[in-house]
Amino acid sequence: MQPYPVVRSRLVGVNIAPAERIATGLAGGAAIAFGVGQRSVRGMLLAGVGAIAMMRAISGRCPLYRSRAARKGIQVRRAITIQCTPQKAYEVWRDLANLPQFMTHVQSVTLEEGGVSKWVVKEGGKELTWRAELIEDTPARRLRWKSLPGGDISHEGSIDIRWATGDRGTIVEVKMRYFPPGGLLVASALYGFLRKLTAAQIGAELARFQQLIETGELTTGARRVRDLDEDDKAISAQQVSPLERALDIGTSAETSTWTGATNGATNGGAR
Amino acid sequence: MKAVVWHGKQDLRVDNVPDPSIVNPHDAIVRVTSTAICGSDLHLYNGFIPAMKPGDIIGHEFMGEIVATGPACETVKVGERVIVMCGISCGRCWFCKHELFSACDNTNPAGSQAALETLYGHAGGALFGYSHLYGGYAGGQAEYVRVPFADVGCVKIPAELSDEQVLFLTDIFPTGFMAAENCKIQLGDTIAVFGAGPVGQFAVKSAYLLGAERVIVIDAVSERLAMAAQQGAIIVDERHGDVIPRIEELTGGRGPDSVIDAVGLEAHGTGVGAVYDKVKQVMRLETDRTTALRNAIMVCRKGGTVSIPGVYGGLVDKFPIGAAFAKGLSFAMGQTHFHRYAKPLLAKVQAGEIDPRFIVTHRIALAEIPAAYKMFNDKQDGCIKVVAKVGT
Ligand SMILES: [Zn+2]
Repeated sequence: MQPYPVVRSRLVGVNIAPAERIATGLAGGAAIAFGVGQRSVRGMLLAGVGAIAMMRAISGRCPLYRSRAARKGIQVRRAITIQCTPQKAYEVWRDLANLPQFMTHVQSVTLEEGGVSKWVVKEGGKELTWRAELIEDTPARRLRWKSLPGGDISHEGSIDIRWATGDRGTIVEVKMRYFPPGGLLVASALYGFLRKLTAAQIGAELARFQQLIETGELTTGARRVRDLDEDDKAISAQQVSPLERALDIGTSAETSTWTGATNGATNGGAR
Repeated sequence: MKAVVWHGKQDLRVDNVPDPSIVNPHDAIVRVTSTAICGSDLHLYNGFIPAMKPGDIIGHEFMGEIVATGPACETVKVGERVIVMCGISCGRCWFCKHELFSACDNTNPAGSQAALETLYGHAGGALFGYSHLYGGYAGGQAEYVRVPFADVGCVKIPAELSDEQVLFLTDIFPTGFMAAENCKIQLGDTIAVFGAGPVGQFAVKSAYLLGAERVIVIDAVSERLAMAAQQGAIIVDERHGDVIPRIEELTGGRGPDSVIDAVGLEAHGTGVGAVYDKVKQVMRLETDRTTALRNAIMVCRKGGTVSIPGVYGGLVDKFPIGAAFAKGLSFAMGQTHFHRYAKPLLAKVQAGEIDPRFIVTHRIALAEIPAAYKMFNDKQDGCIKVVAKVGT
């Protein structure tokens, strides 16, 4: 996976880049030390400014950035390079019903009349739903969609697809932008959902997309089906799935069932 | 089934746990016949590797018999006797296709990938039994193991070869071999190997196989030095003071042409640098102790290669980058691309060019593994390599 310039969530949680935090912290610390050292009103003011800077650095949150974020929305951007043709990557994304297979936060996407899709996200026991329409569809190149008014969330996104250099496959770049309703007064379920919408989350979803395209399965360290956590379980059940059919991933050989150590070892083979 | 379960730092137990099952279409289940303790397992034992959870099954050097296969397996068949590569690779991503198997894009689950990306920028492939940073896959010190991408990770073994002849092809033999191969050995080369543990021993053997004129081995444990000497290496005992002047003397003041650091992050050096490292590591200011690596850089000849099969996980301090730059050194390191080496090295074993059994010092049962870790860790009883027979 290639790391791409990442636009972090500017509304919730940490919204200051690490380098800026460190610089702010150092400057704040210096201002406090210098200000307190001066033992004057001006010095104390300087120390106060330093303290605010320190708080900003320690918490990683800047209130100034927050209001700016409310206007611009939450932007997430991430890219991945995978072994398939642009056409194949396009086909998987074009059929939006495939998305919940690798986007764990999306419960379902159903296609309705006139190119409109209905999105359902489950978060903290609550359902968030919205409808979106495709506003650009360039085969093997680009998809762009935008939510329709009246949903729980106002959202727009795009997928850009292009060949990577040499034999490196295809680059899929996802850009998403969410506009929470009511600015900072965000309902708790929505807040939970938005908090998860980081570049890392999209990165994990793209990693799953890559796993499905390249290997036909979703990677897990689970030792038994029973150990898969709930998310994984839902995914596992879907595994011989429309996506696999779309990708034409053959599952030819027969399953030999494993019934456990005590009665399963039907061997007598090589040793 | 019975398995060696990690409960915490220096707390391993043989527990009864549920058998594994086929989870994904390319999985197989292997009934383990032999498994070994690796030097890198000691990092888990000593709590140096983060993201271990109580209940994790450890061990990554194992072999056995296929007892079940998933619906998408094509080459592995039930009843076959196989060794299993300790790294897990999908065989389909760009990295696997370019034989950079340990850099596999797909075998680390998305969650582990995100953690590794934060730590290292990019995530590599998964490993058996080596923490949730490397996928959280259950390990091979157990009676049964779920093997993902079994067609890619299993190598069929002919009946005439014993378990001990082929078991080390899963990890330490390819690791020692790649370390030596990374030295790009030329006619007349002298190779220095820091650390005469199992990987170091295989690095010595491999360096000679690849045409090295002389191999110098540096360690502080008598049995290990004796084993290296038996392989024809010139030995330098760390307990007899600063090793650099002695290596200089052995190489006519020129330094070895390439140096292999087969020690890694738990280096027990001596001197001011080692004390400094130990203090910082205890205070969590530095995660990796690096005496061997510093010595390797200082002693390597100008334009030579420092090859690092020893495991590092985090940050080091007082890294002599100036010396490395001034001398124009090359570095080659990283997790071994096991799948690249298993078959060619198996051919060498079959042809009798090398018999890996020389490394085994202790043969035990699965139930005795926790005690063996302690023995291995304390370097007691001449312990170099422990092999456990399972289920016999
Ligand atoms: Zn791969």
